[in-house]
Amino acid sequence: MKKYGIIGAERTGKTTLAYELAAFMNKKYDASVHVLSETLLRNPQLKLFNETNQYIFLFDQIIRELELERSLGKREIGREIIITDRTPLDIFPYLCEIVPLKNPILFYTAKEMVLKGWLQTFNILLYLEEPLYEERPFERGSDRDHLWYQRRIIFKELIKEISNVDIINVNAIFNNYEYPIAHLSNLIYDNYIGEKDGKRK
Amino acid sequence: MVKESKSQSKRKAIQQEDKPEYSYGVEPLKEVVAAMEEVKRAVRLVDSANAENKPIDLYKNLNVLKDRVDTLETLISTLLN
Repeated sequence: MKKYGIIGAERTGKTTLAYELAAFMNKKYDASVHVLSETLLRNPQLKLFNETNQYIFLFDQIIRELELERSLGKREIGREIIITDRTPLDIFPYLCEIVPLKNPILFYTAKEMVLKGWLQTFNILLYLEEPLYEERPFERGSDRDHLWYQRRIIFKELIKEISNVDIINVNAIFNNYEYPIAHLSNLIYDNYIGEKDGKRK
Repeated sequence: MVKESKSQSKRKAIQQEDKPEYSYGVEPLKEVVAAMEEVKRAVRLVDSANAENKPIDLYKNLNVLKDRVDTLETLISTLLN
């Protein structure tokens, strides 16, 4: 059982990519691909944008990943692959918009925990720097457009801080390959096979 | 008779299941445990503040956060033991 995470700002196509990869890999490799989708859809009461809710998202994501890993870990047959359509890293660009933070120590502790700890549990991270399926999701110059741009810059900076995990730039693959989903699936599957043989690629 | 706490019963339920092998080892889990100490400290600070001084940004849904921390702590301690 291996885990692959998709990282990127809102409306970059993370969920669509997760399901496209899962569908392709299920068919081509006869793999059992499980998509772990976002927390917010399951907890509408957490829509209020505040510090506590962001940490709830973070812990909820980790709990759900561990629980899914635990349930799949007991299976002995099949090729179990988890694709998460986000990672706990996602909360930080949003927390950066809260000025001043009520608890900056907690912010830095949680950030270190995710960057130096939890992200190491992923076999590969798939990074969406630009939107994959729509050119510009928000009206140019609007407040949401500005925030979206700012979040993407923060994601870019956070990505630079990640170490010890392979990161694939998904936009580069979409720009350079005729069948990007097939190519990405091959990369993931190669990694999966390599890991199964005990080699960390 | 001592009543079993919520976290004890959760832990017991998890222990009864087989533990999967985690390919990434225990280090990431230890990082999470260390960070949870800071979360618990923050929760205690907000809890102990006077009602009028409770920062709404942190206070709202604090019980949900406490529940998540408790669940994760239970889950991880079972995996690490």
